[in-house]
Amino acid sequence: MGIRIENGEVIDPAHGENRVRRTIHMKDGRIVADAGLDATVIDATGCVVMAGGVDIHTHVAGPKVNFARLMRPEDHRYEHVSREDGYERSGTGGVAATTYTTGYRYCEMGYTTIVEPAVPPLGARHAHEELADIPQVDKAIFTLLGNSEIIFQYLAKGEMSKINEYISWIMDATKAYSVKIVNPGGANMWKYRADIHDIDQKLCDFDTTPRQIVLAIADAMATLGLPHPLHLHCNNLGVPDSYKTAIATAEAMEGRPLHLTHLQFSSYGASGKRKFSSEAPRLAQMVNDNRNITIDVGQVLFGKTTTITADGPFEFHLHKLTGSKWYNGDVECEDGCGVVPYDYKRTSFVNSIQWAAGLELFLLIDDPWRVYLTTDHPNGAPFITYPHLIRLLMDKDFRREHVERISAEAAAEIPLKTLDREYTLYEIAIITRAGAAKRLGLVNKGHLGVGADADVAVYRISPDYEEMFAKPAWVLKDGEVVAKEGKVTRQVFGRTLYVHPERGFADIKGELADFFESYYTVNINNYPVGLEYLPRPELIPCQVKQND
Amino acid sequence: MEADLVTPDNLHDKSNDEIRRQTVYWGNKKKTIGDFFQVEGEKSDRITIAGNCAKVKLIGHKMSFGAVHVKGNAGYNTGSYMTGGRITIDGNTADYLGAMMEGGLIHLKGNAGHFVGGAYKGETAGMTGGEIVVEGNAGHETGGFMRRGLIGIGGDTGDFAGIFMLAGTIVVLGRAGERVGANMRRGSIILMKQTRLLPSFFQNGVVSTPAVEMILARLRTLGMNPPSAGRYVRHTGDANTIARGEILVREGNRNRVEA
Repeated sequence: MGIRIENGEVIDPAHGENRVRRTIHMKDGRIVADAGLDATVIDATGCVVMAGGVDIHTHVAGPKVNFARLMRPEDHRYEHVSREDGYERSGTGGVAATTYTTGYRYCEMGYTTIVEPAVPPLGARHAHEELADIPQVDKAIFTLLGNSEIIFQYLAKGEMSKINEYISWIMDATKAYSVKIVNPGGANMWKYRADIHDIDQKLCDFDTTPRQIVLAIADAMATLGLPHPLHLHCNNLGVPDSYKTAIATAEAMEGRPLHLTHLQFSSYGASGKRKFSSEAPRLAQMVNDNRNITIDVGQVLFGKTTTITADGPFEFHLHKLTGSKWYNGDVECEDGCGVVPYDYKRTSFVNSIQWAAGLELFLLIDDPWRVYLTTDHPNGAPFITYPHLIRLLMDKDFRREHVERISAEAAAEIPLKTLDREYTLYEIAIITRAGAAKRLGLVNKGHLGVGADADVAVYRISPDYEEMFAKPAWVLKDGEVVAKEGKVTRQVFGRTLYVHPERGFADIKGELADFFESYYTVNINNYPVGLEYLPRPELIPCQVKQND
Repeated sequence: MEADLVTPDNLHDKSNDEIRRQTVYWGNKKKTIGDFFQVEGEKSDRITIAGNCAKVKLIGHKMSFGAVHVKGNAGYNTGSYMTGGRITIDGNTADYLGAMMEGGLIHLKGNAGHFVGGAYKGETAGMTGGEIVVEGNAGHETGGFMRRGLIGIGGDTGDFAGIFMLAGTIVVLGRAGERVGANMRRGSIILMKQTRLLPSFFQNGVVSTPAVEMILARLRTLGMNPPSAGRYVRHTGDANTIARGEILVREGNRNRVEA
């Protein structure tokens, strides 16, 4: 039986619809033209109807998230979900919540698709096992390749076609959706107690540079036709003058499509009395000028959180800075990782600059289709703060109140205080769903046209946007009501999205086996993740170009 | 049973019927106070709990005013996060008495479990204010991660009293266990009996200070029986950290230094 959502104001930026009063029909998990006479009717008077939210970058599964859970028992004592409150599975909350709690909370904010963007290939099996336990949302993983020694070897020898084959194989072996690069070469250098500070710096044992790594992988991804372009966490992240590296990296791409992730963490300069400043306006200008680049922000919001990243050297830096507990991981031949708890304080000059830099990126990038709302969960803030962030963007008076509360020294310096732009609901719909879905290459998501997945969020219009986006009146997943008034009413499991590049890996089969034999602790036959790990797999086709 | 609602803050303006309907968790099941307790009396900010509550957790959790009197034992986390008021317990308590408390007074007549005034696992600061008086013995890690406030133990403590202490004062009238003040940064631990200290504490003088006498006088007003004025051997440490902490050991007959 179908469902009709009547009397709601539809915001569907993919079709240019801004608060159009029309009925949405859905049946058998899809948006349809007519759901039939027997359809259940939802009366959405006084509500806006949007597609389900799409989070392009959120660390919710995999080995490093588990370390964050283990490392911070203090984080789990707040905000539990309990079977006694009507949930099907109890779980602990906090910044790195349990799998079920993560799914419930996303759903309760109207999100229906999430992407775990940093899974080292060896952690893919673990990540998929966790994703299988995250209910309510569709999910996908990006696999980390920016520090893969196999790629470095081929790069040093100039064997580009073998890189294509390797990426083709690894996408299939990890059931991933796209490729992410974290600090290209840097996490590898960290194994030699060093880091990378320039995109033309040579690695220790391999004759290659971050510039070559990024270009080779971006070209290979284009050749394989992966639906989402390269997802890049720049070198030199989180330190003064990181913006220079970000701009250099963007220029190095020479027009190739690129997604710069959590750009806020790369938007710092070294000017001002404290030698730390926000250079977000320069980066925003760079994004405005280069149509091949999209970004997500990775907004910082004040409060305690846990930073989780594959950028091992950066986490060591953070540990030295804060004296906080620290976890460092080495993923053999592939990458590194680090976990450090962090407390963003309003009173801190640096944290206030970070907070402002993120908002400046949002407000200064003109095209909302190329900037997406994230907090780099949980690095900038946990994802449950999205409604607060939306209000900061939509309500300049609210924003001004918050500017008054941050460190006075920072408030005097930040460009944010002169910005009066307010996001409209239409633009919010772009940065939280339509734009992100488009950039991910998900043709059935982020819009409400006929044929789209019936993932819909209905928000009751309120001048307090924080409350409005925290508690959607209805959330529908695959054409079923799964949450009402910001509370999960029905547990469902979403699909796992993956790609299967056609290229194959015939030429490197023997070499790969030798490499595994020599350097890995895992036998190559036990390495690939089978489809049996994806309870509801959905293959997203690659758009292969003819000439290699 | 988790009785975190049993505080004057929650119950002072409720009728007996409303109190009976208050939620408590029994294991993972939702129950009400009325399922376990008889409720009598008038509305007030004083609560008396009678009976053996050794398995009732979180009594006085986050309370900010009024008084709770437990006539019997109390369970885990009694007085955790409290910010004001007074809790009196006639019997013993389990672990985490006054954990992370910020203010107020806890008076325990029996023995306490481990982590008195301590920090929950992973937290970087335990008790940040208030006073805890234990007439009996206390378990391990008494005052661990303590940041401010006063803990007085009438009897003995287990090992690691004042571990990772950041500041504040711990007084042990009985015998303290091994490794007192391990990794302490600041703060004072006052011991009345000799004990073996860690090698990372170094002796630097004998003091007789009014500050100690004032603390002991305060404990006397709280019903404890500390000895009268005396001299204390001062040990500074823990040298593994910034070594701004001190352990004052009351000078006994054995190591008296004649001036």
